[in-house]
This record gives sequence, C-alpha cells and structure tokens, in this order.
Amino acid sequence: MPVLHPEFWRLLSPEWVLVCFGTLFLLLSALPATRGAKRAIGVMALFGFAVVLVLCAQTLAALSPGMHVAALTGLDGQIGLTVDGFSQVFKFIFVLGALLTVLMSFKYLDVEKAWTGEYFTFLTFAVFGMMVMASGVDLLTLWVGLETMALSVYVLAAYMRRQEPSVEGATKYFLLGAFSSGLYLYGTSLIYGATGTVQLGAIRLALMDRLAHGGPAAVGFPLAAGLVILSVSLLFKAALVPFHWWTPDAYEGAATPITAFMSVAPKAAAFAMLLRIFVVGFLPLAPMWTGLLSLVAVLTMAWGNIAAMLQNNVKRMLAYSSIAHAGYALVGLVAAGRSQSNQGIAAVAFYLLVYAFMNLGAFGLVLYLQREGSAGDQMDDFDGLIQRSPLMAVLMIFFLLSLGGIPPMAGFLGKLMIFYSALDARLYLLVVVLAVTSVISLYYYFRVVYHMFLKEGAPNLPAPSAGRPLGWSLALCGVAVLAIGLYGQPFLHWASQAVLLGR
Amino acid sequence: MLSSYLPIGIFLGIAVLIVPLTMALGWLFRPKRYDAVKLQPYECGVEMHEAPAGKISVHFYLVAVVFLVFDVETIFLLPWAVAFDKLGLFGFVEVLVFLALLFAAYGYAWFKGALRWEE
Repeated sequence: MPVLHPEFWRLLSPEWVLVCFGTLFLLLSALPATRGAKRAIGVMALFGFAVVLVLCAQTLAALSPGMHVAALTGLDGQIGLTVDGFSQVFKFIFVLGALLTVLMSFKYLDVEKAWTGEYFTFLTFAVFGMMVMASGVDLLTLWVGLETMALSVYVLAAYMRRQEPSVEGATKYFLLGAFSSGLYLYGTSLIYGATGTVQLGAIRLALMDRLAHGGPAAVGFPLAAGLVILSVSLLFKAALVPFHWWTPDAYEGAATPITAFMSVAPKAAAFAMLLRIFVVGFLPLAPMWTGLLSLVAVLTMAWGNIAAMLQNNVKRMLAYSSIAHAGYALVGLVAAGRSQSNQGIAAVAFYLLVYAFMNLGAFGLVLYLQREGSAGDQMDDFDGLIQRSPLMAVLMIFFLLSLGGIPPMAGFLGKLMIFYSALDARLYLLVVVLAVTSVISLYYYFRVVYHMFLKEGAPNLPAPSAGRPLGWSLALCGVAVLAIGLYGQPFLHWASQAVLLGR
Repeated sequence: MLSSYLPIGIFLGIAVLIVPLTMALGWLFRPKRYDAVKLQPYECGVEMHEAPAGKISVHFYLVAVVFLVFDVETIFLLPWAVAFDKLGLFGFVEVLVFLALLFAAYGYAWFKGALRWEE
C-alpha cells in the first residue's frame, strides 16, 4: 500500500500548487487570446511563483533542524520523495530564479512581440521537474524529475523558433541532452545490477557492506562503470568541462530571459541532484569520485575562464563564465565528499543563491540594452553606458564585481565559503586553482566595465528603457548582491539548513 | 561477479558477427548479373514512377504526438487496473489525477487545432 505522509499536502505544497498553476496556464494558453490576455498569464505566473516561493520558505521553516520527512512512499514501501532542509533550500533557489526570470521576460516579449501562454507553462513545469530533482531519493524518481525539467527547457531554448541561432542551439542542446539522459539510465541499470537497488540509502548500505568485506577491490567493474556513466550525464546537465560544448551555442541562441534562467535554475537543479546522489548514495566511494570530480573542477575553472576571455558577445561570455562558476560550486561538492562536516553542502547552496542574483542581474542588463532589431548582447552595445544611464552602469558594476568575487559584494562571500570548505577538506590544489582562475576572470568582467566607462557610445543613441518589471528585478538583484555581501550572516544561516537526509 | 556477464558477452559477439557473416556468405554464393531491372529498389511489383523523398505534412507529427497521449495513458492504466484491489482508494484518486492532467494536455491539443486536418 502506498503511504502518504499525514502532512503530505502541506509538505509537498510547493509541488502541487505549482502543477495546478502549470495546468491552468496550459489550458489558458489554448484559448485564442489577445496580447493583453497573454500578458495576463505572465502576471499570473508572477503571482504563482511568488506564492510557491512563500510555500518553500514556509515548509523549510516548519522543519525542525536536521529533520527530514518521507513525503511519498511507493508500493514496495520504499521512499520516493523526501522533504528535508536540503530539498527546501534548493527549491527556494529554483523558484527565486523563475520569479526573477518572469519579471525579466516582460520587456523581452514586448520588444520581440512574442507573447504566448506556453512560455510560462513550460517555465512552470521546468521548475516542477527541478523540485523533484531536489526531493527524489531514488535514481529513477530523480530521473523523472530530470526529464520533466529537461524537456521543458529544450522547448524554451527553441522558443524563438523563427530565429536560426535559437533553433540551432536548442537542437544541439536537445541531441546531447537526450543522449546524456540515455547515459543516465544506462549507468542506473549498471548500478542496479551491481547492488540490486535504485534507492540511494540502500545503495549506500550495499556499498558499505561490500567495502567492509572485500576492501576497495570489491567495488567491481560494473558498479564503477555505472557511477562514472551516471556522473557524465549529470556533469553534462550542469555544463562542466569536458561536457560543456552545447552551452555557449544554446545560451547565445536562446531568448535572453531563457538564457538567464538556464544558467541559474537548471544548473542549480543539476547540482542538487549531484549532491544528493554522490553525498548520500555514493559516500562510501568518496575517495574514488572526489578524485574524478577534482579533475573536472580544475578543467572547468581553467577552461571556462580562459574561453570567456575570447568572447565579444556578452551572452557568450556569460555562458563561459557560468561554466566557470559551476566549476567553483563543484569544488564545494568535492569538499562535501571529503570532509565529515556539512560545510561543503551549505557552501554550494549559498553560492548558488548568490550566483542566481548576480548572474540574473548581469543578464538583466543585456535585456535592458535590448531594443528592436538588436539583442543588446554585443560588447559594443555597452559603450558609453555611464553617460546614457549611469544608474544601470553602476548596477552592472555591482554584478560584475560580484561575479568576479570582489568584496564587499555577495560573490566574494560565496567564493570565500567554497574556499573555506575546500581548505577544511585539505583540497589545496583546488583552492589554488580557484584563486588563480578568479583573478583571470577579472579580465573579462572588467572588459565590460571598460566598454561602459572608457569607450564613447555611438552618438544619438536613444537611452534604453527598462520597463517596470525589468527595473524591479534589476533593483532586487542589485540590492541582494550588495546586502548579502555586507551582511551575509542570515543568508549563511539559511544555507546551513541545507542538511541532506541520511548524510 | 564479472563472469555472470559472460553470456551477454557471447550474445553481443554473435550479434556483431552475424551481419558481416551473412552478407559475406550472400556475396560469396549469389550469381552476380546486374542490369537495369535488377538494380531497381524493388525487382518485381508496381512500377516506380516517383522519387520517394517528398514533403510530409506536419500534421502527421501532431497526430503521432496526440496518439502518444492515449498510448501512454493505456500503458499506465493497465498495471493500475490489474492491481486495482490492492491499490484501493489511493490508487483510484491517483489515476484520476493522472487522467485529469492528460485530459488537460488533450484539451490543449484540441483547442489549438491539432486534430483539424484541413486548414
């Protein structure tokens, strides 16, 4: 008999409220409607995400520290979904990203005259998939979440379907993504064959048993191969080197608000899944996978930052920069595998929160420069911005400083937490690479500053207009980046609630 | 542990070998007399009169997707129906939710005109 937790409806309220909203948007978008009516769906999406954000915060607050709840148990008595501090903290980040994305979408859809209800439907279901990715505790439930998210995001990436780059980028993303989903299942089947279960907790017990009886040699080839194949597919979703090739094209081609969303929320979801699988399921094998992921982290930080230096398209530059930032977050994951404390996981959660604000802010500035016939994503579009709109130029400096990790911005504190957790786990090589590549990253962030301050803009260029929703979201991101940087204590405390079930 | 995968390995080997093997055997034994009729895609049957690669209406894809909605519905309903007595009220409500979501998608396709053939 399947078992619902007595407080199922309250515990999983973010999920089911979101599904209700998504279905509503789907049905509404089927009706023939004017542009104004479609805009109304956007306003409803804004409301919906705001409600779900509150629900996420509420469910997190209702959990006593370290507590976790098996929210949904399957036929065989095995837990499918769980609600713990970790899942709720990550859900908050996803919904926050989606909320800011919806705010930023208004101007883009106005300028491109591309309002549809489906845009918000897919956004809603993508976030729902991410929530399952954060809450699932067996490999197949996690996969269902992953696919729900991925299919929605493929469609969103191809949203501007009359524009060739959008379709090209989305096709690359889809083909590689479908392939990596297949790899995930292949890895899962090998792990199931070796351990007889897809439950993360049971996998962990099986591994401990095996290591206790035969030592590292008893791990066996199928299990090791399964783990490597599984991680390849997740590294692909988080866009880590050497599985990042789809990223620049997909990010450059997609509609700018969707690019912003893709660089924040699905990445955070992939990290939630990586953390859950590696730190809960495969912790006994930590000596093995930390080595592998350390290598990936070094490659990612180095390649992401070096390739970003060469870009003249700001969206592409931010795409490579987002690869590099995923590398920083991966250092936190490796630290979580190496040390016994919760510091690494909290550092990743905090970093992803900060990253959501600063990266969405930077993409918001691209949207601010967007005008009819130009996406506003060339370096030259930023020329002389300080004269045209000083306030926005200053905001962009906030975001860039934060992305570069300069105090007193939030990005500095985020990097510091990753730094500490890595030091705590004695990952000295990763610490050095993190520091050096952060310095390299300043070069390309300051190139934008150079364009804004020292280059003369084209004469007679009209001052860009933000529109109110975009203005609000930029203001929110700017305030958050500064506030978290200056007074990070409550936010650090919030992130430290990200405790994994069964850790 | 690894030895239990041996039968799979043998099957894999056979599967890989069987294609080149049969092709090589055919090449070895068949008479090789080529002429215009022999080289046609179909040696007997209706005469060819058109190149095969034409445009395919996008409606076929839409119909295929709508078909998928019902197909998936049936696939998931069947195990539920088989275990109906064990699943009880919970399973019943679960299936109703599932059907409602599918019908929402179906309604969407309907209202959008995916089922209208002539435009």
